[in-house]
Amino acid sequence: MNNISKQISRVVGHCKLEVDVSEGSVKDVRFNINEDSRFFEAFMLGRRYDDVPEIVTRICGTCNANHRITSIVALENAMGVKASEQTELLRKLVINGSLIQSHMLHLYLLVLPDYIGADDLFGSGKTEYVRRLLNLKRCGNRMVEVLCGRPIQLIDAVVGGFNVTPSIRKIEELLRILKETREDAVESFHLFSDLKLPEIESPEKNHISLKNGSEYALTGRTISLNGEEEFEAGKYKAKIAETVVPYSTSKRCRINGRSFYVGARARIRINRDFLADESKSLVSSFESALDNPMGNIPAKAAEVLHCYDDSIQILEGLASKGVKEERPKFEIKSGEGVGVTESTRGTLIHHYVLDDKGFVKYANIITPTTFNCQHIEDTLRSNVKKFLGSSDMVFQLERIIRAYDPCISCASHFLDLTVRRR
Amino acid sequence: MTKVTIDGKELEAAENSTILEAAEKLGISIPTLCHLKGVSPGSVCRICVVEVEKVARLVPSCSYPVSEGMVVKTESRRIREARRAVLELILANHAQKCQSCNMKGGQCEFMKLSKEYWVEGLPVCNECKLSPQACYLNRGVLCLGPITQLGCDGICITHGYSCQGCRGPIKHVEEGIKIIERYGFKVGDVLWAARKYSGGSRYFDELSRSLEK
Ligand code: SF4
Ligand code: SF4
Ligand code: FES
Repeated sequence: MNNISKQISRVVGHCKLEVDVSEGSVKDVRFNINEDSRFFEAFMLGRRYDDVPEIVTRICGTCNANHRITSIVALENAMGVKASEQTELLRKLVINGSLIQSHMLHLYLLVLPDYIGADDLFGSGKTEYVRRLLNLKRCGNRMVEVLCGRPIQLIDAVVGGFNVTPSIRKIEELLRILKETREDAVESFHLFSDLKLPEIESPEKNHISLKNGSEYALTGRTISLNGEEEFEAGKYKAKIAETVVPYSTSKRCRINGRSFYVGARARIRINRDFLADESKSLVSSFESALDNPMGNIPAKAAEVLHCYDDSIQILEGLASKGVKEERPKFEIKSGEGVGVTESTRGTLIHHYVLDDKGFVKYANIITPTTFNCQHIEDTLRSNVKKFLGSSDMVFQLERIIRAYDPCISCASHFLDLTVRRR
Repeated sequence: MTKVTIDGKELEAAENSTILEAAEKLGISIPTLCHLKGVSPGSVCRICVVEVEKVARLVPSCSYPVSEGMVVKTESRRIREARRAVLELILANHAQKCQSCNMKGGQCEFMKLSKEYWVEGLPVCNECKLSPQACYLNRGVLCLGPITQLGCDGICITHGYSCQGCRGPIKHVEEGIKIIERYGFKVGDVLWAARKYSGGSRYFDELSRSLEK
């Protein structure tokens, strides 16, 4: 037996890839999430509804805005609260900002070093890329900060709306920043769509994303499978089977017994007609890559540009119509609710049951990485043979994992690859 | 005229002037608390200590006179530690009722220095921008400001939300809890709210168990 174990960086959280090799052929491939269980669903039980958005924000430092908004939507559905039109718009802006924040972080810091032969971006000497990343990140951060009080661990978004409505001056400030940095988003798109991505085939083609038939859906109630079949988000349990595997602390999800993927690539495949004009016209330049897990990279870059254009449009609307001072108003009721949004890594589901005083009786959260896990493993399994024996096998497999942008947790970062040879 | 060097900068200082005055001329600021301009120095707080070459102990700059050829340092790890110790001693003697103090929200010099020198155990209340009258506790809304470590600028309060204690409990939680109780809240409620973020702190856990008995 001959164990090779290697620590590699640039994924979010702890995960491990194990490849068992025997007599020169691959016996097994396992993608392990060996992050400790985090018990979020358990310790929300018995807390009041208004603690929930706050607690779930702490699940992840990268996409915490999505967790917060998703939980709020779920709680509103449980209590039958209807958010105002303005609130919906502001929430969309928050999600757009959050996508800009974390897409850029992933692409520039986690992915790009693989393609420019560097260990990390800051050490690569490519100051131009660093400058661009910081511009975009600053813009995303500012969007979330203006709308929610802080760039991470937001405060203002609550059940029923927003505690503080942004002033027109703030709206105009955002517009200015977005317009100033939009060119950086365009350049980023070209950078990432021109990368020479490896040809990786994935055996499973199923994918899901929100869809609502009128816009590039980042929030909504209907989930589409491959753009062909639709089901109500509230009925996700009937459609998606969750199972447990002994070697991983993350569950595995399947639809009709097959793994599927979520994320930018799935969204663009399902909702490309609703992309903002410029992003839509750019999709054709990486269309063939959409069949390939690596296609997630240009897809994310195209989404960032879409988020820019979409946000500019929403903000211009708000600037001309004005923002109303609104305070959340609703009654606490018992009920059950599911909330779904599209977060940077894909479809995110929150599900709660409340009692009549608003205390949580049941909580379930399914993160995009849980959806993607099985798909990552399947893709690796079918590709590992290709790289077996080559000197850069570790690098090649890692690259595939990184393209999915798995967010195993928020805390630390290493990917441990073990190849066992017998 | 007396020639002195402070932090590497040279100056001809007036005879009999103090190090503090000389430093001021050079635009170097040294923190003071007990010192009042024009009043003969008491040198009791010792926050203004500096290092003087060839003098073993730290000296209070507000009263120590300059002398020919003196070389002074106003920032060093040793000075920082000494100043922090001074602040901690004062704090131990100071009833922290920031929530009802008119100097809160950034006007209190002592708190400013405590933050600058990383003194532990200051509550969010002293950063909070609300006036004592507008304080949430005063309006019957539970706020964990008095038992929570500051550093966030009381951002939640500025955003219309009472402090939920996310930065963790301060050293003297019991004192803080007593403050909240005085506004008519029950210990149980305070603990319930605080457990959201601080349940994992062993100290807090023990305290809440003993108080709940
Ligand atoms: S509102 Fe809260 S943080 Fe502000 S003074 Fe009152 S108790 Fe302290
Ligand atoms: S909850 Fe946290 S951020 Fe908010 S005021 Fe309290 S300590 Fe500051
Ligand atoms: S200011 Fe108090 S001793 Fe100098």
